[in-house]
Amino acid sequence: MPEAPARPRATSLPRPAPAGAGRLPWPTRLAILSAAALVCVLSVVVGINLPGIVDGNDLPWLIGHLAGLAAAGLIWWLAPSAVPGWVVVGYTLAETAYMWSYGVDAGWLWPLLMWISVLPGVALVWLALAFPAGRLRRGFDRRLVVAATAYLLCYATATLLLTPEYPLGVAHERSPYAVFADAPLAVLLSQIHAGMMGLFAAVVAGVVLLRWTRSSGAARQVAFIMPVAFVLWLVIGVVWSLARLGEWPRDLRFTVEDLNVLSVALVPAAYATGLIRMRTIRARAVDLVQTGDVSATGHDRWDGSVKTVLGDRTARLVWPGSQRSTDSDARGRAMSSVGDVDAPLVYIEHDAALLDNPQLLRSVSASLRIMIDNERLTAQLRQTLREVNRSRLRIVQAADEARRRAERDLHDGSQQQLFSVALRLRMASDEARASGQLALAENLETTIDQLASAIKELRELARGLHPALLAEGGLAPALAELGRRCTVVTRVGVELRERPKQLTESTVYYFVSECLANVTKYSLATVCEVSVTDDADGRLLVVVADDGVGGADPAAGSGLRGLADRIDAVGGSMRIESAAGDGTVITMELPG
Amino acid sequence: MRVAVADDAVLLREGVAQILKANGHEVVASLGSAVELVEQIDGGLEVDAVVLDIRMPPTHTDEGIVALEHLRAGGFTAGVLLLSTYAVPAYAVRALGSGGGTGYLLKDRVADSGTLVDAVERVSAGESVVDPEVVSLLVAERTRSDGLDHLTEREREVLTLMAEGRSNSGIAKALVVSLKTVEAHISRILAKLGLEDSPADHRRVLAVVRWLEHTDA
Repeated sequence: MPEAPARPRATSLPRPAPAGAGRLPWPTRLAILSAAALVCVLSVVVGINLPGIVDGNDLPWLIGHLAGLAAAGLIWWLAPSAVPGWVVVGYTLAETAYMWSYGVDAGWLWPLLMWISVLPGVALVWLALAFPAGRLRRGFDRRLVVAATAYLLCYATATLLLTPEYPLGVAHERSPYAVFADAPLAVLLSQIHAGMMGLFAAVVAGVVLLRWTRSSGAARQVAFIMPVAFVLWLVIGVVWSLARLGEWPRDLRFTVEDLNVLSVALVPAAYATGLIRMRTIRARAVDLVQTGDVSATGHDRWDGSVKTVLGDRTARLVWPGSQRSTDSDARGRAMSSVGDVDAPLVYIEHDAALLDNPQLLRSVSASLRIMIDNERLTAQLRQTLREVNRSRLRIVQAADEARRRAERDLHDGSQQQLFSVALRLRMASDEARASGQLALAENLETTIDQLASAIKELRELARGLHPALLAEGGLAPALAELGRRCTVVTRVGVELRERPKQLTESTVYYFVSECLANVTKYSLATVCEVSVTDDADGRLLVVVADDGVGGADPAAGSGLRGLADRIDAVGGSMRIESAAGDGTVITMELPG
Repeated sequence: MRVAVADDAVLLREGVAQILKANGHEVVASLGSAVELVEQIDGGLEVDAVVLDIRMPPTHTDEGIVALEHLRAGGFTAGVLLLSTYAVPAYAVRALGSGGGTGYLLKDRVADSGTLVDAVERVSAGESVVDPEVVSLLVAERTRSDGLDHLTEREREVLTLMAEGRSNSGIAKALVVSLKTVEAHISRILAKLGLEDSPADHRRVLAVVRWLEHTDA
C-alpha cells in the first residue's frame, strides 16, 4: 500500500462556540452576580456586629469581594466559556465564608463556614493555570490543581475535627465536629498550612513565571498580566503571613492586612484584564487586510503583517506544497490551517502559546482567507477577462476573415460565372438575330437584362461584405469611395503616418460605412466630414461629423450598437454627440 | 487585330476570346494571370490590344493595373482594356494615368458584345475608354458637391461623354449634333472647368476624369 502523502500536522482551530452555547443569558448572569453581591454585603454587615474582631477592615473586604464579582461579570462577557466566570463567583462566595464565620454563633454552622473558607485557594491555582484558554491544557497543571484540592480538603477536614473553639477566641458555641479537639495541634497545623499554601503559591507562581519568560513574544503579549498578578498576590500573602506571625507595628500590620484583603480580587481582575487585552489584539487582524494588499506581488508580503498582528516574530505562512523547514515540528511550534482543514489554503506556523488565544488565530485566519480568496478571485477574474477579450477579438477577426473569403468566393466564382453566362446568352441572341429568329433573340435579350440586374445586386452584396479597394489601397481610397456613394456631400480626409493593421482598417471602414448610412437615412444633412488621423503611438482617431438635425439615439441604431461591440473588442471606444438641431459628431478611437 | 486576353476566370476568358474571334480578331494568347501576360509580352509577343482583368491571383487586388503600369514603363504602346467587377473611379484614374490607349470597363459590358469589341478597337487606336457607370458615379457626386451649376444641361451631357472617352465625332454622333457644335461645347466646358485642351484625346479624358474625381489639384 502506498503511504498517504505526508501532510503538515496542523491544528484545526476550535470552532467558535455558537452564540449562546456555553454562555449564560445576561439576565441569569445579572441575577447570579446580584445575589452574590448581596451575600458579600451581608457577610460584612454580620461581621460588623462583632466589633473589634476584624480590626475594622470590613470595607476593604467588601471592595475586594465586589471587585471579584465585577471581574466575574467581565469574564462572562468576554470569555467563550462560562467556566472561568463560575470559578470566580464560587471563589468570591467561598471567600465570604470567612467573614460569615465571624458573625455566626451557632456551633453547628461556624465550623462548616471555616471549613469552606479554606477552599478558595484552589480556584486561584486553577485561574492562574487555566488563563487564558479557560481550561487546563497540560497534565502537570491538572495534577497540581488536583493535589491542591486534595490537600485543602484534608487540611480543612483536619481543622474541623481538631478545633473546638474559634481560634481567635470569639464567643462562639463550641463546635460539635471537634471530635479530636486539640487546640495546640490545630494552631500548629495552621502554621504548617500557611507554609504549605506558600509552597503551592510559589510553585504556581514559578510555573507561570517560567512559562512566561520562556515563551515567545506572542505568549507574553497574551499572558503577561496573569503572572504579574499572581506573583503580586503571592508577595502580599507572604508579607501578610510574616506580619501575622511577627510582632509588626500595628499600623503597618493593618495596612498589610488591608492589602491582603484587596488582593483577593487581584487574580480574577487579572483574568478579566487579560481577556480585554486579547480582544484588542484580535482587532488588529483587520490591519492584516489593510497592510497585506499594499506591497508588491508574492505571498511573502503577508508574512510581515502576520508576524505583527500575531505578535509572534517567528510566525510565518507555509503554503501547501512548499518546502517546510524542520523547526516547524519543534516543541512549542504549532501549525494552524487557514480555510478548509482537509484542503487548507495556507498554514500559519506560530508559537504554540498562541493556541491559548484561539480567537486571535481565528481572526487572522479569517482575514488571511479573505485576502487569499480575494487575490485568487481577482487573478481568476483578470485571467478570464483577458481570455474573453482575446476570444472576442478572435471572433471579430474570424468574422472579418469570413466576410473577406465570402466576397472573394463571390468574386471568383458566382460573379465570373454570371458574367460568362451573360456573355454566352448575348452570343446566342446575336446568332438568333443573325439567323432571323427574332422572337428567340428578343427572349434571350430579356433574359440578359434580368441577368444584368441580378449581377448588379450581387455586386452590391459583395461590396458590402468586404471592399476590394480596402485590401489593395487602404483606407484613403476605400473611404473616398464610401464618401462618393453617400447621397450627402461628403469630404473625406485620411492622414495617416503609417498603414494600420488589417483589423483596424476594416473596423474603421465598417464604422464610417455605418455612420454614412445613418447620415443618409436620418440626418437631413447637407455636408458630412470624415476625418481619420493617427498620433505618434499609432492611436487612430476617426470623426464623422454632419450638419444635420442631430438627436441621434445610440440605442436606436442597431448598426452602431453592433459596431460598438466590435470597437470594444479591438480595444477602442466610441462617443456620440448629437444635440437636437446641432448635427451629429461620432468619434471613434482605436489603439495602434 | 492581334489580341491577348488575361483573366483568371476561364469561362469568361474563353467567352471574351470567342466574341473577339467572331468579330474578326485574332486571339494570340489566352492567359490566367497578369504575370504570364507580362512574361509573354516581354518575351516578344506582338499584340495590338490586351484585355486584362484587374483582380487576379496572387494578391487578388490590383494585379491588372500593376501589370499595365509595368508594361507602359517598358514602352508598351498597344491598347489595353482593363476589366473590373466593381466600378472604382480611383482605378480608372490610375489606368488612364498610365497613358496611351487605355480603357476601364465593367465586366457587365462583356454581355454587350458590341461595347466590348468597340472598346478593344478604340483602345488599340489610342483612344481612352471609361465605363459609363464610373462616369455617372463621378458626375453624380460632383453634381452633389459643386452642383455643376456653371454647366448647362447639354454641356453636362458632353462632359459625360468626354469622360467616357468619346472622341469629338463620337460625341457628335451620340448627341446627333454637328462636329462644330460639339467642339464649341467642349472648349466652353474646358474653359469653365479651368482645364487645358490637349491635342492628344486620351490626355483630355484623363484631365476630365481627374477633375471629376477631385484629384486635379
